Amino acid sequence: MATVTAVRTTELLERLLRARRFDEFLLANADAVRGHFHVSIGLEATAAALPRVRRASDLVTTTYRNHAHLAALGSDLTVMYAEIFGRDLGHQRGRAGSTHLSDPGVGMLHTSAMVSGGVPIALGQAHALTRSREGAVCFCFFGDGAFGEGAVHESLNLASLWRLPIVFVCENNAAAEADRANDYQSAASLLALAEAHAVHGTAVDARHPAAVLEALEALTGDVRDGSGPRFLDAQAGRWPGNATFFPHDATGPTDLRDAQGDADDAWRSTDDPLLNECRRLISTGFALDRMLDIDRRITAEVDDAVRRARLAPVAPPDTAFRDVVGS
Amino acid sequence: MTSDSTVMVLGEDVTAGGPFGLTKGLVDGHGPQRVRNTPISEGAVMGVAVGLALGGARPFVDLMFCDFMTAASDQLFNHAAKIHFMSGGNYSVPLAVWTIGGGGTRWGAQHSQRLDAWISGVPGIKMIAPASPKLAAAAVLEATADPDPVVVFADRALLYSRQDLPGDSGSPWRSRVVRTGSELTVAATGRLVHLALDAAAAIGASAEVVDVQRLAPLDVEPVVDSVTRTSRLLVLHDEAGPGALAATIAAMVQDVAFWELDAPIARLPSPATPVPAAASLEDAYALDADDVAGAMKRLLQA
Repeated sequence: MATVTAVRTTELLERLLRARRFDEFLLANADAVRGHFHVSIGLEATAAALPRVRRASDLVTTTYRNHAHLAALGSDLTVMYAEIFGRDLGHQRGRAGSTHLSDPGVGMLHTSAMVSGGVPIALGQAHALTRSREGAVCFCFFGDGAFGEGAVHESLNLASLWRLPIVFVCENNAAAEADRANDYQSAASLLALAEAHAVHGTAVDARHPAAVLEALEALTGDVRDGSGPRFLDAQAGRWPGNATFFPHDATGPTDLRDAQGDADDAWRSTDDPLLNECRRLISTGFALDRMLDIDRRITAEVDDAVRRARLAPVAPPDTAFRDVVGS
Repeated sequence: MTSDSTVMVLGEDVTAGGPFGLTKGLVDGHGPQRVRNTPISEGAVMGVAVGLALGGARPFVDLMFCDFMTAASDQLFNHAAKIHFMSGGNYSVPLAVWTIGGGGTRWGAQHSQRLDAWISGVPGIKMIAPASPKLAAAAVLEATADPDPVVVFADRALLYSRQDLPGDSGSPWRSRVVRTGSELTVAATGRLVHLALDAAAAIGASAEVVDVQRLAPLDVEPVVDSVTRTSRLLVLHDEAGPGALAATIAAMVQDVAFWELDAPIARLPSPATPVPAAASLEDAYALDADDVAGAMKRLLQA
């Protein structure tokens, strides 16, 4: 498999850490945020796999839960924090905030905060790519809740009908029922809903980043080959912090040493994709100390980013009235 | 489309010309990739257009009836309208939307309304409502070349009209005087421009008629200018009730020209009911030349 290279390196670990520490530092600096924000904790496996399969001309759409995608793709963490903190330094000069975070430098032109809002836009971007860039694809991330919106079903149909180069990635952290995809769906699975529109795909246990990477590589290859859109049902665990509006202390900062030995809760023992990747690396012979070194380096980088963003000037009030239209 | 290969047409049955012949023959010259039939999925199709626009294309969406704006509104209002601003000015959404509104065809409440105030009230959207064939053509060209989302709002009643108006060689981006007069000003849009001209002729009033065709950003400048000469203003609009764009036009004029007025600004919007289907009911509902003539006479006596 093409994933052999990746699974033998700390690449996934580094991207997972970059995303995880970004959100943990954000929670610790929540006093600098006006308005609400969403963290990606627990859902980082898909984000961590993305940079491995994404080519420079590929585009990405995501949701209000976007921090992991940007962090994993290598977006400037200081600029990300600056946007979230309402600073002029942000990519969108403070007009977007956490829920609309984007970065053209990593192929993310706009982020919708409407559930399912980015999905039809991804189709249009994929369509535009077919006009100019052979083999380029658009990665379209959305949550399981988006299946409640008509736009997702319209988009699956349209993408299939027009054979658009698009990889649908559903970050699914809803609990499955015995015979239904989740509490809000009558279909047996989300994959079945995609298949109904002849969008083929696969389901993967997204608590395990290496498994996600393998699935995403295979599906993306199909799409690049011109086979039409593909769908990934990435079934993640639920971070306990998502159950509350104030998740700050749900689990505390992640300690990679929890990957050794037996943790006594579901989050640490089975659900956390970061700890699971550590466990996988340990099983292939990596020393935990080496991972802790990587963690220290990344944590220092994130710490520095949040400090610099806090010191950045706020967005000047007069800029609130600019750029309503282009001409 | 010949001079700009990035222009694409999206809509239901557009290869066949659409229900009103708007896109007739386009597919012959430009092919089904640039003239794309879509499923009946207004929401997704508007989103596809937004994505295409972000990707460097210039999509032109035939939305058929403005009533369908309700289905397409998430993508048009929450996305197309806001992306330029929210991107910090980094990205534009060059997106043209053609849609039709207004009654007179007995098609009932979901195919006859106008939603001008709603559409024009969302910052980031531009809107032109042409009242003559030449300006409609000019509006389509301008909308397609513009860097921002532009809604061209065609009046159902004028769809097959060949009636030119004075000053048709001007820009669709400016409201304009189509009849000069000294006793009162009538501000109107779409078919009501023609109705105002007919009514003025019928009662022999020296009415100055302003075609308010740029609805967003709303251009009332020629109305204000006219009122400084006539001192009386009647605002007509084919939209229902107190929230109709007529109210905004009146308010904007009185903001700057209150002391020029010899009488309160008169407004004649459509009644605040859904548009009925039966001929007898729709005729009772719709503004006609008698309604306009009556309103003009009352204002002249005020």
